[in-house]
Amino acid sequence: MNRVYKMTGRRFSEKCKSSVLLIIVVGTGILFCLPVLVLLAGSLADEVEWTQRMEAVIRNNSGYIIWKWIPDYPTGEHYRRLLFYTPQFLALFWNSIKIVSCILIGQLLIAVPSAWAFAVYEFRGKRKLFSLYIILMLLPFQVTMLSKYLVLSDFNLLDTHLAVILPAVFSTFPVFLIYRSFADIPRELLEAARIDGAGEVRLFMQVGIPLSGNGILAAMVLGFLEYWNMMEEPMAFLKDKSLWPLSLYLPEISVEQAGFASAASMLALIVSLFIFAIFKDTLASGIISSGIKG
Amino acid sequence: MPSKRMYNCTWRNKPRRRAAGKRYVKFLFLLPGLAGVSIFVLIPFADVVKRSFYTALSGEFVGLKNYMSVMQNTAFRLAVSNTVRFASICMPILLAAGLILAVIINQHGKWERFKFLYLLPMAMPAATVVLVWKMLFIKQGFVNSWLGSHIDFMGEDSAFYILVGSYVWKNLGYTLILWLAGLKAIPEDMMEAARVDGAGKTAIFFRIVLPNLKGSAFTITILSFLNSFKVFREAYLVSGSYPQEKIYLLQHVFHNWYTNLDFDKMAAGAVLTALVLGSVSILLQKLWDNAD
Amino acid sequence: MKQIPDTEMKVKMKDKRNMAIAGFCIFLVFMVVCTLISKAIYTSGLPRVTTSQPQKKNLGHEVSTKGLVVQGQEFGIYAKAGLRVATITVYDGDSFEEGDALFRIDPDDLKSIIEEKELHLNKLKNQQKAGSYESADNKQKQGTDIARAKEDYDQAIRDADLAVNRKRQLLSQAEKELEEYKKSVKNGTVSDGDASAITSLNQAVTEAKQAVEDALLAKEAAQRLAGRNIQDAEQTDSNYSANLEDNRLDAAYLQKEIDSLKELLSADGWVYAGEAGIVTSQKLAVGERTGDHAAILYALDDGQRILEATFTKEQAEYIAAGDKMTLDIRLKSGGSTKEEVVVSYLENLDDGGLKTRISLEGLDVSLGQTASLRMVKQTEAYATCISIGSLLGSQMEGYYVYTVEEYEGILGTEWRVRKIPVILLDKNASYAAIESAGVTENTQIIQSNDKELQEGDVVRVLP
Repeated sequence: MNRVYKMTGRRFSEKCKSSVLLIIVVGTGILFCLPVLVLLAGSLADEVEWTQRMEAVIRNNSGYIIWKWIPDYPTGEHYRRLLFYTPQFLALFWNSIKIVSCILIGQLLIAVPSAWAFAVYEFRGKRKLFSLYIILMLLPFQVTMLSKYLVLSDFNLLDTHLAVILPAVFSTFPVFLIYRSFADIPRELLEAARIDGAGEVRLFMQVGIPLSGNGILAAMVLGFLEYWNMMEEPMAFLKDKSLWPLSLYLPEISVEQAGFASAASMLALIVSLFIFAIFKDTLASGIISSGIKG
Repeated sequence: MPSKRMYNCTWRNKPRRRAAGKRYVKFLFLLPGLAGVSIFVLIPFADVVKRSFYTALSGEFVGLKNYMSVMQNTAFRLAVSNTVRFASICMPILLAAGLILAVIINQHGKWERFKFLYLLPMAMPAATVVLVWKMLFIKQGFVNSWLGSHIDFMGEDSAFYILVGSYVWKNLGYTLILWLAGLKAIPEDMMEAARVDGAGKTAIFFRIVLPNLKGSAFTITILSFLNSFKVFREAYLVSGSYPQEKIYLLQHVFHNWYTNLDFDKMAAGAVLTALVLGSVSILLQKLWDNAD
Repeated sequence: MKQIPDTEMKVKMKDKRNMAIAGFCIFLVFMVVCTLISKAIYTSGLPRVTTSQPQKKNLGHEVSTKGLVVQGQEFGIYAKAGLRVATITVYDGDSFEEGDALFRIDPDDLKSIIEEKELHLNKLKNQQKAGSYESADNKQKQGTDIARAKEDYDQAIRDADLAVNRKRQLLSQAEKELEEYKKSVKNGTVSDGDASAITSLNQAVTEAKQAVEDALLAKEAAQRLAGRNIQDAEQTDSNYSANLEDNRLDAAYLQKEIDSLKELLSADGWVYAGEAGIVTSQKLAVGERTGDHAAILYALDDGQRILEATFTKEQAEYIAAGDKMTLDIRLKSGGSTKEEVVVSYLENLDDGGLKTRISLEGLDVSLGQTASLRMVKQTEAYATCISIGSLLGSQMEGYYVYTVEEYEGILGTEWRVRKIPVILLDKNASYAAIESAGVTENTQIIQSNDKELQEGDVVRVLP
């Protein structure tokens, strides 16, 4: 589409308009990222400065929080404290890593084939089942909280990581997402492969997955973000504090220690950022290469 | 274009087994998932349905009494109205904003790299979002310092709009990406043909672009709907179990019923919610008619 | 139309992605390192404690003290009072043989004392002589006195008898009159109604009787008085003779004194020991005069020995008469022996303590030696006993112990310190018996810790 416009040439007002739009787009984007920058700036300010800034809050008077983008006395003390003197943080960090990895692997093994089945095969009640999947996906956690608790309790899974991992592995959300990218594969391709003599499993492994690879990864990334930050399930099913994921540790830090809380949040965020960085091209090309669908 | 050379041809030598095995294989794909879903999702839900007909404490069968009491429960009604209001306001905003942004970006190919700026908010954990909220919206917060006032925004009706804003802020990124994907999927030739026919940009947009986006729109709507429930986390972390009136959502009600051990009401409420959600999603499906 | 990125871009993207993956791996490794470091710092910063559980025990209270061997029998060497001491050759603890010189009285002073006494003696002797003359005259005088007193006595008796007889006559007369009146009434010569006549007659009789009695009493009194006079007359004689006797006795005594002083002088003032012994207490001072008390107290070499020991007030609680104690003592012959002795004698001291004396019969020990007494008294069994090091606090502020209890934290099962107040029932050097609501037989009580503790601290429990 771009090339069409370019070919007809640009007038000055067009250029102006596009510059303004650019400013809007980029500006809004930066605005969206501001909180992260606030966090970063805050994590580098020491407690003394924070106390100064938050004076109005501490005294509960009619002042305001003072904000400086660059701290007067930048310090790494929060990070130092977090990384070297708070073994609890690190323990929970690894908990989160473990939980999320297990969930994602499980989802790969379970949801991808399910999505394939929905996308490629026809069977009785398929539509109804799929609708059911969607409904189940939409239910807020609180609705089934109690019953899930009882089921897990019957299996003696409460207070273990499996209590959080297993229900997530069988979540219907990734099925929904991946279904779309499987559904985008042209029928003809599959038929051709079958005619050539490929078995279903081979079809799945060697045709489906590579073609939808990016879609699957996109779903995984989304899943990562979701489960790295999940709160309700661990809170309900894990009583043992040593099993908690990182996302439950952050609320425990009181606002008085804003600097420390910012540093902890930054570290939790960094992992997500790494994932973004690693998979951003996947996201991009996932979108690009799935552009076959009409 | 993926080529046929991807698989080798040795399979041609086994015609008979193929035909027989095919029918069962497809279930193998589905089965593990289905089993797990049944155990961890369906059975709990069935249990919930069952519970909705009994009382919590004594376990006697009371028929539809729970449903009646739930539907007359003021907290529940308030929560339902708030939730519906929230969804009906925030989703259109999100979808429209995402689409507009996607269209703009799509017209300027080089700008695509900026879409990652919008993705960043998704990565922030709820507790962190709350931290920033507090700095912004408390009595001595930044917003107040810009306005020169001292309003606790989270304690007023404005809390509702804070939630809406937060929702859009978090989800714009992915919405944008999905819209972009959808836009890119529109065949170039169609566009070309329309242009040649002399259709103006608006006409092209409404007659060609939008219809082709139906599939994406369905996905995006479902996702947005799903994410609209997640605002509960931030609301809970900031205001606790009993927040300001306008942001008292469905999950608050359920949560409070759970803590008060009102499992019967919870069950009835859950069934009602599921019925509503179910009909909504089926409606959506029919409207977009996209379940392939 | 789709946009397929050209190969160059694909390679760029792949490079970027590899960089990102590498970055992430480095980050994870960094986190692992941080985990190890932070755990190391954390655990090394934890105080280390050892714990033990309370036991049921009898507390033994050891009572031990050191005693001194003292003499069981003591003898004294006396010297006359008032003699000036010139030399002292033995002091406390010295032993001496028979015939040893103990101390010396100043001979010159002794001489003058002897002279003084001889003078006195002469005086007495003179007095005696004078006294015997006087005695004869007195005898005669006394005889006269006695005769006179006797005469007075007889006279007094005769006078009294006369008085009595007269009164008797009066009485019989009054009685006769009464008889007559009565007869005349009977006869009718006198009218009956005259009461006053009878009354006065009766009264007369009564008065007469009274007078008789008075006279008798008077007689007795006179008798007594006269008799006393006789006694007095006889008395003077014996008193007087007693004085004389005194004088004689004094003289005899004085003579004896002089004799013994002279004997001392002949020894040039030296006093020698009559038998072998050890000085326990020498109460002389050179240049001073001897006093009434014994000059030197001593005990025999192989005499009876007694152990004297005292116990403090705290120890006294555990001791009762009849308790058996172990005595550890060195023998004269070298070597030591342990014996079981019975504490039968206990004396209360002012400070609340006790003093005991134990006979050391049969043991060959030297005077002035120290020995130790030891006893371990077992109290009744206490249900909760902890080692004494675990007991903290003081009587004034209250006693407490630190315990550890499990607590589930983010880092798993950890131990937390709790401070529990306790009541102290009894204690000895190694254990304390306590009572507390918070301490059961399963409680882990902190025995030792390498850092100061506070309630709520996380600690590491060493096995």
